[in-house]
Amino acid sequence: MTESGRVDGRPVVFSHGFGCDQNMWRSVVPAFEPDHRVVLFDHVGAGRSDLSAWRPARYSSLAGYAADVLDVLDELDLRDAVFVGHSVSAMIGVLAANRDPSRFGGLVMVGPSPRYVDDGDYRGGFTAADIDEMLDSLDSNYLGWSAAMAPAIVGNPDRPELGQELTDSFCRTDPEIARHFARVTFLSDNRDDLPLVTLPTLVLQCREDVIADRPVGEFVHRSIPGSELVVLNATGHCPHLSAPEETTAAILDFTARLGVRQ
Amino acid sequence: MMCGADTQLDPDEPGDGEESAVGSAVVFSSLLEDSAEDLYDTAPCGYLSTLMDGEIAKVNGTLLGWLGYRREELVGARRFTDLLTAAGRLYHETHYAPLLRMHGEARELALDLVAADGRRLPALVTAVVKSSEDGQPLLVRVTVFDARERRSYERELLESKRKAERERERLQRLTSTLQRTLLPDALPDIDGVEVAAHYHAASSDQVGGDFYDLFPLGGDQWGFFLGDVCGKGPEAAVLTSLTRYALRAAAVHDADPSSVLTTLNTVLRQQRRPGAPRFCTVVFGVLEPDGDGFTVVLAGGGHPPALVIRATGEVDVLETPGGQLVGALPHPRFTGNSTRLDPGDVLVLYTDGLTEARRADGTMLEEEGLAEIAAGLAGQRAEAVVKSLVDVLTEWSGEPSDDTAVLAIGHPGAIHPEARC
Amino acid sequence: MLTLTTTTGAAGRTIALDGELDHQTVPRLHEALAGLRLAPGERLVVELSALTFCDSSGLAGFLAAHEAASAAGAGITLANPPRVLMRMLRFTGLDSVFDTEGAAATG
Repeated sequence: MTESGRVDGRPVVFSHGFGCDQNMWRSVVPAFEPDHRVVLFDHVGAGRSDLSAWRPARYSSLAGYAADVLDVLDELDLRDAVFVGHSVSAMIGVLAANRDPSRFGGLVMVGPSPRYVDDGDYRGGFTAADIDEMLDSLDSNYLGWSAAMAPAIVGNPDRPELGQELTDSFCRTDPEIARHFARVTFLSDNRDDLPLVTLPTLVLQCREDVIADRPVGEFVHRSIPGSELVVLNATGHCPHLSAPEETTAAILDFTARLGVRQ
Repeated sequence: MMCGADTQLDPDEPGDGEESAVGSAVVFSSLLEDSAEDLYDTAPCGYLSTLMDGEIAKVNGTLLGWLGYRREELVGARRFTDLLTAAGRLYHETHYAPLLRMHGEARELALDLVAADGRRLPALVTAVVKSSEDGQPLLVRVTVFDARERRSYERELLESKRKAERERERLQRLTSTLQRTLLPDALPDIDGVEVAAHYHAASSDQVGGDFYDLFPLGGDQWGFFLGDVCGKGPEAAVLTSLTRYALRAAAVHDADPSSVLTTLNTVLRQQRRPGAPRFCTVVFGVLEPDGDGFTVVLAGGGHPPALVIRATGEVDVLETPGGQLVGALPHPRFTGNSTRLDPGDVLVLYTDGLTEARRADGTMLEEEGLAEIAAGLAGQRAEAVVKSLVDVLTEWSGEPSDDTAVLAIGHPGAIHPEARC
Repeated sequence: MLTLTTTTGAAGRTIALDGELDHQTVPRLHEALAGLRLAPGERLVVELSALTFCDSSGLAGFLAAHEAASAAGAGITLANPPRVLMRMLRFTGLDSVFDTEGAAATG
């Protein structure tokens, strides 16, 4: 867990998606630090999280990860927190907020998908076979994962602004835990949880996103009562990496308009 | 706007379109000066350059040939992710793209490319971001290696790894099942006595060689034993099973502890095979109510001595001096001893996994060290005594490295004084 | 690892064990002893000062060696057994079976 910014500012909790860790947010965080209390954390199995905390049973569904989010909020005793979740973490945020809305002030969902697998009229974008194949390809990438991921750890001489403390853990993922997380991420169906959200919610959708494309973002927006949808000009699944300014502006605009609850 | 703009984006990138002129008239010297353009286009690996959003800006002939596309079908018309399977796109977006953004490169990622006719090309992909002088990322250079053979090899490797993991799980299940059959399911309830036991097998793959049991002998008498067979694994399991049944059967016939051990010795000697020594160390005893306490008669066959932790705080070591290993000699000597358990006393039997545990400074606990610890446990009940001893062990060495068994038989004292005779 | 060295001196033959005597290495002790062909009345010294480890299989090896020597009318002496081995022999009641010399104090 990493904290920065103003201790008395409104808390903004950034939660990374599958495949990476809290360093994903590094281009976004500085814009929040002057006025907000910024909280970053790694989900179990990612970055520098405590691997021994991982239990297959607890993390066999997203509820386990949501419980961790609530633990983070409890531990820091955060109130009125804006939870910014990327990808699967957007859904983890929904589950956490539905279980205990009292600590949340708002929800920002970056590239969310409540279900990746097509189902009847619902188009998640993938077939079950696609997901199975992806889980297999994870295996072959993790088979040589140290080779594939190690270069990421040594840093990049061309871009010294990537601080050493960031580079040494980026995308470091425990293969066994990642496999379970991938399964839980891509096979979950949280469509029914969306209408239960009572918080002010912003859905950030990229213009094109091969993982969670516009119809999926629009589905999320339609399903959450009173939510806002902002379609970014950015493409891809990680606008906070590819278009940090645009992403930051949209989130700041949203948080600025949130009232402080009693 | 993207299409054909590569020369402006990056003057270093060799232009496409220019076919190199390697013909039949090529002389030796020109072979030494292989042209960069030709090398790019016909290199033994695929080359691809994309804009930061993934749009393909440039591709070499090798990759076009592998995928069966014409250049204009890709350049300015498709994104790199369009060449991937759905699974590959997921992997790309969750791993590859963030790595590229964060670190400017992503190496040796296993991805499947999809050819124009739907065929799949297992590939190893490495990508590097090309930035402008002021650090602005401009484009992504990608090399694609044909990884068909490597992938099928990896699949075999992965399958073997999974198979090995499954086999190991199976072995561990089998071992723990077998281990359970060699230990009592639950210790019997004996009026006025508290019993507790601990068993730790050092390896989850191998059956341990320690054993214990407590069982009725008829009348008010109870038989108990604890020991350690020579060896580990299947041989030890066979020997443990043989020893347990021999001890129980022998005790029914004649419960005198030394006679029981003599019978066991005969049984083990009959089962000897060259190269498979069949012997064990064991303490066998009989427990019998006696007034407001119990009499304990026992005999030791080459086993560390039992202890009695007295309610008073003293520790008696029940030496059985000269008692010999069971099964090793044709005419062994077994030595008896006896004591009384008064209210608050606890009898403790253990295997050498406990006394050979090492302190932080590397010295062994040994019998003397155990007796000292035991003295501090006076007044505790059997279960607490076992727990404390095991705690000491785990505190020192984490998981004990040797098999360890502890059996404690305690006289909890007169809870209902009127029940005493 | 176990190294076996046989030497002949004025007092007779000695076999020195250097290293670990366990399930893996004990067959080598058997082979070496079988190769020595002990004569009736001969007393073989088994030098143990460099023995670093001995488990119950090693103990079984000494017992087998003792039995084989007795059968041939010969005997063996365990010379300079390490403290841990003496402790093992004492607990298993085998200290009375083997002839030992130069045994470390057993405390």
